[in-house]
Amino acid sequence: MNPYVVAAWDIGSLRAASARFVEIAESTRNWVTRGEAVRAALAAPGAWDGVGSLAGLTDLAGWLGVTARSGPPLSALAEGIVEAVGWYGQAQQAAAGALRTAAASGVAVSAQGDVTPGAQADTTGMAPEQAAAVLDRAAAASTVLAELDRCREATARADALLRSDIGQFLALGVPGFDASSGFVDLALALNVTGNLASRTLAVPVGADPEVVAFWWAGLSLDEQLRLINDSPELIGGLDGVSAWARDLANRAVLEELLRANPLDPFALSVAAALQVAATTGQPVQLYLLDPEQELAGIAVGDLDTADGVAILVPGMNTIVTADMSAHVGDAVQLWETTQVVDPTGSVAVLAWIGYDTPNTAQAPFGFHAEWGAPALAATVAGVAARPGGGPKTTVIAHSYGTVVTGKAAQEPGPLGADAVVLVGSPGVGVRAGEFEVPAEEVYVGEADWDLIADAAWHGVDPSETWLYGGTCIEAGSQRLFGNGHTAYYEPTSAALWNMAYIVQGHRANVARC
Amino acid sequence: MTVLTVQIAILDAAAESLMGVCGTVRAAAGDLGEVVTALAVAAPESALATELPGVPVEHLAEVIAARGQVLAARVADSARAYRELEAALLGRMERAGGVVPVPR
Repeated sequence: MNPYVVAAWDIGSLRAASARFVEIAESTRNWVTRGEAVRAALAAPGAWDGVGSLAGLTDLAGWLGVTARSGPPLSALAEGIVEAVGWYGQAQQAAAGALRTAAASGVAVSAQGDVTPGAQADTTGMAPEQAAAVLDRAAAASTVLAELDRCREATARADALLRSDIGQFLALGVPGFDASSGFVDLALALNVTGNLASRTLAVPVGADPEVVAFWWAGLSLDEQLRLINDSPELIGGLDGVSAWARDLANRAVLEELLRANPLDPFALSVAAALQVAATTGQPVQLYLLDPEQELAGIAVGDLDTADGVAILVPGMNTIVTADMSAHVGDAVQLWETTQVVDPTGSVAVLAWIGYDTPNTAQAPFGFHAEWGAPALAATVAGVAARPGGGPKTTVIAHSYGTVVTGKAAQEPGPLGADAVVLVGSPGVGVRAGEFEVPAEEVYVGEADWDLIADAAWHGVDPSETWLYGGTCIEAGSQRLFGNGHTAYYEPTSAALWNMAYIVQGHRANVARC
Repeated sequence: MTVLTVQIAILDAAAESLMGVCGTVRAAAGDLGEVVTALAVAAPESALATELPGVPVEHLAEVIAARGQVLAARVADSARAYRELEAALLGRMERAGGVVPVPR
């Protein structure tokens, strides 16, 4: 402990801040009181009925429970801080006193707290006046040492007290809660999730995503958690269910897969891709996990709250076991670019390998697109069906993914997207005006040296927008030679920046051709 | 005025109140963050500076505020649904030129 640092501690600020901490911790009671009044008003007979009111009231009770249970640990920590600040004040006084005494008596104190000369004095052979001076300095050094000991003791006591209170807050009050935890973790940790355990729950498998979203929003948190726990395979793949819930369910399934076979190549690929997504420091959601068909989808960002969502639809020869990390890498690249073009716009990018992609020999034919289109349409509808209004959704399709997207637009009901981006397309099968979004919101880009995009296997080359319709966007990169077909998500690609502007809704910045 | 009008008023007021509570909680979260920073700055090298900033007190309040806002939005959605229902019923009454029973 450096006595100079301790002597400079601002005890006045510490007292003011710790008092404010106590005030805030105490105010949790007021939050609960006000929330209780709202709950009571809603629970009055005839005030709130209809679908979802029971679950809503239960969730409100759960929220109040969590809030009430969070108050005491917070207050205990606040009181601990106040007590520690008292000891820090004593330490500061002792350090300042020691340094004052030392300065007045010619005693040196190092940053480590060593005192020179020490408290022991040898006056042998000295003249009486010199001996008296030496003895005075030794006495002063003794006082300084005693003050420094008092400083160390008070600091150690305050530190220990604070560590203990912090430990209690983390371990006893809100166990397992950390900066990455959400409300569900908190509710589980505090064992406050409401109580509707007796209601029978039927999962609407096969229903439209809008219907599923309505049903899901009408469940209490307790019921949602029960379903996730009891039927993770169903919930994890059900379009219309909130992304946080699908993530929780799919991670449980993934954990089980890895427990059953730690070398399962599908599970390992998904786990590795989750790590790639985590490098952004953003929420990562395992939105889709289908071990039987070997399909997966991972979102960078929070699909439940993002203002803008991009769904990346890959092309041929893209399989989870070999390409999930690379596909997520593309999502990370796009997500990071969206934050460069507008750091204030919240975005989630879903790397989706949700259909059985064709191999090169199969790519000229439309069968895989026919099979994959319903899944893509349901995924887009599921994202858009978010309660309280869906995000601005952009489907970004690459290569054969553009064919799947074209087929998805032909599925019953509107596509559910706000914009469509087609890059490296070997033909789409539908014209820009048939995407169920305004034709100018269909953006088409083609890089140099992209031979696949010129194949026209599936009809008109969409990059010929004078014939196809839509908006032509720049898609070139600094890759001079080589395969331009795989360059669209590279940082130097104009396509990547244009996608970022489109996802963020900055249409004026899109570089057109 | 229909039977639904009263319910709409209750739901609107509840959503607004709950949103207000969440605003207070969110502001408290920000205050907690500032307090923790102030404590750390005022006593460098102490546990206030080395340990306390790692305790997610600000995050705790933010999580509570965010969840409360979701619930407030749910109540507001109900109010909106009731309002749409009321408008539809009133429209139907007008078209019928008389009184149509209002379902509860």
